[in-house]
Amino acid sequence: MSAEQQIVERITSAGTAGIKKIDLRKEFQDMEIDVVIEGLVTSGDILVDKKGTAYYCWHKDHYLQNLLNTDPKFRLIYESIMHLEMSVNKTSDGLAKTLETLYNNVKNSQKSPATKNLDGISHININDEPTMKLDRFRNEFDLAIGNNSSSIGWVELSKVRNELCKKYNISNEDFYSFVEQLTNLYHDKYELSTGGYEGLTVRGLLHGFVRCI
Amino acid sequence: MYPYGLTQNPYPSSPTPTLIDAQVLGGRRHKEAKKAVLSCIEDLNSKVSDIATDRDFRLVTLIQDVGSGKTHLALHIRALKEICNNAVISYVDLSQVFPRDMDNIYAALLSGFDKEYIDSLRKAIVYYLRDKAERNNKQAKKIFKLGFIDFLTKKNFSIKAQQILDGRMVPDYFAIDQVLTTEFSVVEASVMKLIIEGKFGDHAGNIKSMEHIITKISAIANLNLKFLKKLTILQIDEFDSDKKSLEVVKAIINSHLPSTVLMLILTPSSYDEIRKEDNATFDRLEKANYKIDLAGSNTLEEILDIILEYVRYYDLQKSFKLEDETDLSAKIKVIYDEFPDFRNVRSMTNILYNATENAAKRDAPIIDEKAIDDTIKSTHPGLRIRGSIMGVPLSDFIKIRNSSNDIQMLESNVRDAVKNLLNHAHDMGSVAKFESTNGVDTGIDVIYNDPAGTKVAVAVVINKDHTKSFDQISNTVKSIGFADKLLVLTNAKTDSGTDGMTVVNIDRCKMTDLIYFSSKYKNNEILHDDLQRALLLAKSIKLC
Repeated sequence: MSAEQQIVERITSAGTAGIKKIDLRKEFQDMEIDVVIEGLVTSGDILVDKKGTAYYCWHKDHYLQNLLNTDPKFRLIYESIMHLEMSVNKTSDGLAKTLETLYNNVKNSQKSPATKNLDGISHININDEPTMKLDRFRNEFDLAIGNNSSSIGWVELSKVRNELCKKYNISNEDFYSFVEQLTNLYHDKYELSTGGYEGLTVRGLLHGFVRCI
Repeated sequence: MYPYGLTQNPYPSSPTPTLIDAQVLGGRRHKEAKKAVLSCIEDLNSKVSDIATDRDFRLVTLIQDVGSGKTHLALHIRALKEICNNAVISYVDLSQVFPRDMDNIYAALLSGFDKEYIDSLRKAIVYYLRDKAERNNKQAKKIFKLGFIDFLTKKNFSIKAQQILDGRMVPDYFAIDQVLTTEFSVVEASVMKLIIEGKFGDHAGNIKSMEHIITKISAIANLNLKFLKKLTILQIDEFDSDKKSLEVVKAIINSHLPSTVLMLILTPSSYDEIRKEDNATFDRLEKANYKIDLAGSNTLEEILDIILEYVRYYDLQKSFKLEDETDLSAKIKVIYDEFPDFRNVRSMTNILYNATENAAKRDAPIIDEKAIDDTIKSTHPGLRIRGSIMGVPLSDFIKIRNSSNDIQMLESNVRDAVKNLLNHAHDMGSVAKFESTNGVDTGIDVIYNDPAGTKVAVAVVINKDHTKSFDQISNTVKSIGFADKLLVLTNAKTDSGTDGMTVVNIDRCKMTDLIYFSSKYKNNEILHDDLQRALLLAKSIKLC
């Protein structure tokens, strides 16, 4: 083990409390501690900070926790930033969903030719037959579940919908109509679970997750 | 008396399982999940020696949708003999913990242990001190305050220990401290003292930090192993992405509590939310030692077994025969097939509970169609058979479905129904001249004139084997000479109509509608509402 590795290991073992630079110097007398530490600080593996009158060394993984434990001002700022990040993420998710819905709506209205009735009033035909057959949809659906599933097999229906609607140019309504047919026809092959932001409503509950059994 | 000679309703009535309900466990998948949990505990038990180490920690996750039997499984495991002999369990329902702060979660963990366990641990600790006193340990002897009068009245340490356990004597706590701190850590000693005092759960409010919680739970786990030779199982139900719960669980996992199994029960949706909220905890959950999967817990096969298991469990007289099982299974299958809302263990047991009560009130020997029909009507008044025009009640639907297993009988019933429907249409003036044929040579069952004067021949072709149907349909085409137009009603799912021939596919629901109408028509039970519905039904299959 190289001198650097030994020192990094020692600093890591000190955890969030850190270790005094002077103690390191005592422990590794035969090494050029200052040079090694300087190198490690430059590479970003360790951090050196003053605590009281002594200089302490921390591994990069523990320094943040140390600051959170010891510096209330830092902790408050950190929590505010995390909160901000979370709300930005949520907002951008919501925005992306709204944009997608708008995009699909525009696409659907372009797809459905406006017809005129006898009174000359325009109306949109919403009863267009899906262009895809159920069997083919099933294959693609299974594939998408396989590609997107988590370690426990569940996938958010919105993820699958995103993928298939984009790939095969089908509307959200058609997608969910297919999913409903599939899960009704092959109820021993698919499982739905509650939750998520969009999906099928069963027993009055939104089921936004699916998996193959 | 309840159906099948039962003395009580076997199905749970509460929306969430109770310990008593959880004694019954049916379903192949649920039983497999139980086996997996038992194997985890057995494995850990075989690894743990007298002194537990941080290697003796296991994480088990149980993830499935709401109402699929997760809590039921957790409670069932809690009451198992093989578990009770090897482990102590604290069951916490996080949905009941509010506000979700560290103190409350810890308090819930403590109150999750049952009284029987706390009493047995208290007893074991007091007996441990008694044994020490009997071995002439000076400090231990002080605990029991055995004086001269006790000596005269022949009171010994065992009697004194019993008095402490009965709350008739206060031990010398200073001496207890002296004895315990020589062998146990300070935290373990303080927990033991509280247990002796009968204040096991009272120290929850004194918690200062997460570290404090972990040391306390760790101490309890150590004491369980030392005094009871048992593992500690922490079952946390309704686990979700709440920040405080995540922090506590993360700390428990990180600390590798000795001789402990942490069992987290959650839904796929909560699992996904945890992934989004807290990568570190999610990563730990991903690395769980056992991921119990109840995949397929809402399939018909699983639900059937669960429903039947309840009856089998309470059927002490063995009155529930194979034919009863088959009959009940057929009824459940219809509910399952026709109402997606009931494709869930909890919903189905709820229906069966009410149906059993209904049958018992009428002294019905079995859960009959009427019981199920009345139940669904009263509990889900808005529910209808999907696609039914005639509004067939569920009880009739079940009867017709069961009688339709014989395909020849089904064909004959549909044929009669078509004739009756045309008769009705004729009565209503929607069909002009109408004549029935024998259908043997030509394949034509009935000929009528529509209002425009077109002569229409109708053939009913219903077969299990659709190839046969296609052959039959091709043969009937030859009979087109009898009429201007040929209408074939079939279950063959084909759209192979030709010039002059119309093929109408009639599904199971339409056939049931036809047979239901026919039965009412024959028995003169047609009501005003039925008149219009029947015409609508005739139109839906292009009869008029």
